[in-house]
Amino acid sequence: MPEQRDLRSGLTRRAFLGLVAGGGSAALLAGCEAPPAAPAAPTQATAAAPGGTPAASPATFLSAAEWERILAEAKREGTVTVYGAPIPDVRRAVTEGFERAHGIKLDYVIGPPGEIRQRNEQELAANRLTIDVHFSGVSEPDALNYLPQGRFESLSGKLTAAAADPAVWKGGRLKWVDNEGRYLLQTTDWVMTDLFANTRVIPANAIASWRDLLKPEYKGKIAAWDPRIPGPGIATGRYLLKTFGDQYARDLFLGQAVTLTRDVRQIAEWIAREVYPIGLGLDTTVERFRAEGFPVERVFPADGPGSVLGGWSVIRIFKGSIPHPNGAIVYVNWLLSKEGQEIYTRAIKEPSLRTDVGAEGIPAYLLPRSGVNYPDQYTEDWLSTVAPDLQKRWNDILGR
Amino acid sequence: MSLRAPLAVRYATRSTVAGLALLVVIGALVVVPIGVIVLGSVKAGRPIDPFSFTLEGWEMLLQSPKTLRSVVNSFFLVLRVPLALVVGLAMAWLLVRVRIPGHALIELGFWVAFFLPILPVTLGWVLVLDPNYGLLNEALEHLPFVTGPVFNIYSLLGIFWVHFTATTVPIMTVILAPVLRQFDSSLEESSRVCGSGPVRTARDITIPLIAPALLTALLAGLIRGMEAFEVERVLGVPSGIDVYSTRIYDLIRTEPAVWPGAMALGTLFLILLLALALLYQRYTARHTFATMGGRGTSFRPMVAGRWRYLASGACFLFLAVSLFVPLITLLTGSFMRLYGIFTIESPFTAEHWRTVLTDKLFASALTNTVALGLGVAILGLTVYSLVAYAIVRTRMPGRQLLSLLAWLPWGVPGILLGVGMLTLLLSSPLAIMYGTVGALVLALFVKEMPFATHMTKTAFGQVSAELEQAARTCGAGWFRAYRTIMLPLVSPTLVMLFVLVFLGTIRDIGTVVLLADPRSRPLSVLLLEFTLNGNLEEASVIGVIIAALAIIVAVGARRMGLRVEARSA
Repeated sequence: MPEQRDLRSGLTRRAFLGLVAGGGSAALLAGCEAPPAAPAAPTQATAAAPGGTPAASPATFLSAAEWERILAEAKREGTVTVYGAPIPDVRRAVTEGFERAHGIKLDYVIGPPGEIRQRNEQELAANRLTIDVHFSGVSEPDALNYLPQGRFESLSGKLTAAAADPAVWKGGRLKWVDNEGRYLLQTTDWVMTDLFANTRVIPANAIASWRDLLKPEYKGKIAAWDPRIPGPGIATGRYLLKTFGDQYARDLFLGQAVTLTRDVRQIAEWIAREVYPIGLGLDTTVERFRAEGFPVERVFPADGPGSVLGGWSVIRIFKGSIPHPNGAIVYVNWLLSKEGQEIYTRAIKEPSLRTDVGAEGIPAYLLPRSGVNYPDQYTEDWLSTVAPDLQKRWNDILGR
Repeated sequence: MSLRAPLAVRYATRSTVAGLALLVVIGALVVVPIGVIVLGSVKAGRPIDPFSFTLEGWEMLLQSPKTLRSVVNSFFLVLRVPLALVVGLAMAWLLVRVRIPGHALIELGFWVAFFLPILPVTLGWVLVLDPNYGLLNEALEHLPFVTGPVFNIYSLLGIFWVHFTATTVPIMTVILAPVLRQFDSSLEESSRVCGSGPVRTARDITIPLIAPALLTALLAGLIRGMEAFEVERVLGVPSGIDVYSTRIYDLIRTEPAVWPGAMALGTLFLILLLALALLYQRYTARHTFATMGGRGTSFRPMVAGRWRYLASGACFLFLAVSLFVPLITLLTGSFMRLYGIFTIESPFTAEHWRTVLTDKLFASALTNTVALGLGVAILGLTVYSLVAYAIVRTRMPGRQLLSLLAWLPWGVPGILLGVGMLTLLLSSPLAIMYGTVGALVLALFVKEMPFATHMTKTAFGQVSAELEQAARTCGAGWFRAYRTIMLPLVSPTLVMLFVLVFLGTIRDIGTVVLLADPRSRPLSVLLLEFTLNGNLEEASVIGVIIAALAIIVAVGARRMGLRVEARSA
């Protein structure tokens, strides 16, 4: 059963934003001051907002007593099982950090998102969940299936003020993917790695506009992650289609004979080796080649700054009989804490939405620039309406 | 053999009960997952959705040029299997019957070649045959009459080549060598005494007698060839080549997932497999192929002239291609800062070995790998051999059906079988096992069943029934006859199957990802993690370790098998 929706669901987005702009936000934020560690008393603060907009209903933080009780229960449970980015550095850092902080064993499930989703769907149907917390990316099924079906546990009331104090989060608010601001909590925000070029072949300033890629001299020189297949290039593909339309997508991918791949290493190596000097939809695998001196640079055409997304950083708990319900809450709060975010973002090399966590070691091209209005691919509206339409159009353009 | 009437009745009743029990257990384990897939082909939505009839999947299958093209490509690529069967048989014959110089080393080489993980091996071939930077292409371009790249690894022929050299020929050789070992060479000697040359002897005596094994290997090779995924993903996608397995993956993993289309494609191949399995069954039912009789057996090698050195040279050359290139690239890659890139400053490092060996998961993953591999291989071989024995040696009702059922888990690709196994484990009394290592062992046991059962069946068929009958006449029960007569005589095949099941288990990723508890995950999960991130260097380290483990088990099992063989001789 879906949880009861709050007042906000009855308002249009525009009307709601108007209300907030009308003076509510500062007052709402005032109640959110929290101690650095566990809260001393029950605290109220702003809840979530779609795209970061403060919600009308305040969220209740866990009190110190509640937190202590949950922590003690979690220690009795002894373990928490989580799914997260299948990246060895992240797994190691997060596991060690959490176990050191709380003395609770962390079982980190490894697997590709598609397979894990399959497993989880069948476990949900049988009410035999084995994963306590999912800390991963979002995709259409989250918005089209799970949210409407009420499959997620509300995180509201499960967070400590120390972890979720809006004052320490970008824009003074938590960034929720879901419109209700209860279920899908995003912790990093970065600019998609849309376009790279090997500057030994393509001078950095040669691609000033996305339309430059249609020049005859670049025909057969571009490689891309297949925009129909989940992976780093799906966001790039959707951004290009949304921004420049179907004809551009056709002219680029078909007209310029773009070579497609579904292997993150292959595309990065192609650009580094100059097999294809231009690459669309890479991920930070490219950093390994840059670190060895390959002249591979992120290119920002003036007519399209790219979109922002949250990568693997969205926290959710599925509703049902998870094996370690208290351990799950402890893990979520640790992930949101300054320490948790420092450990996670340094390992995954993505900027945190926490303002007290620095961006040292994170490639500069991932950091959103102030004053730029990036489309956000991590919102319920995008996932439920925009993304399915774009996906269908890509399937039509490249064939299904 | 004559049994007194009451004993015969009791034996027949017991046999019927045992046979039916076996049929029910194997049937349940196999039919439920396969049923999920067949039903899924006419069901709208996801596997978990309530049933709603649709023919959308079949319509898509028949109307999508892309899907049809993928089927055609798959058929082209599996042509390597009959070709490899011929090459593998020739190699196995040279190794076992002729015992060419260096035969033991060559055979071990084929085992090692088959043990190497396929992704780094594929990338090793990319390094050699890439049209842009492939070492061989670059070398050939220095020739005066060559103007561009000679080879293109990103093509159907490229995929064909990698499979043919890296997996198909080595596995065919490895499979057929024990079959030839279980072959009384006096049959060949008789042929030669009658004036037949080696080729005629092979054509008229050897090949007809080992036909069931050849058919089993061919059928298994065709099915597994269809399911191959990794090489096709890396080499096929850049050139727009879809095959059956990548197509199913795309249909399931692209939003919105087209489950009916994927299930229909899976069902189509299941029908094809059933047709092939029925043909195979009809053929083997009409012929007897006992090659080891009660008059004793002889394993003397064939007399060969100087040409055996030439044959040995040819085998070493093939081995150099199928083993040397991938092994060198794999080993070198595990010590390189960036796999296959020599142009950077100080390209070599031991850092990846340190990273893997100091990973907190490594020790437990290694232990789990060995335990899981041995567990499934021991349990599997015990049950598979009993099933095979029941099919070949008893008159129990439904044994032909049992034989057919035993093929089914290979009738659909692993990605779909995993969905079926999940359904079985979550919605049946077996649910009590879900989330434990037992569920994983059971799933892997089902997955490894087809080839091991049928190969054991073939091996039992090579042993004349008179040997057991003699034992029974002397008062031995069936189990004693089975244990002391049959098992030792087919030990070369059992050893080979033990190693293959062990290897299949420790290399499995699809089933493990869906069913493994974090505490029981093996090394293959770490390999997957490194591969997903393009950390090929660390993946190569794990690949080397898995290959080394498999070799240790292969050598150990071989020694044990030889000891059993010697004791029974």
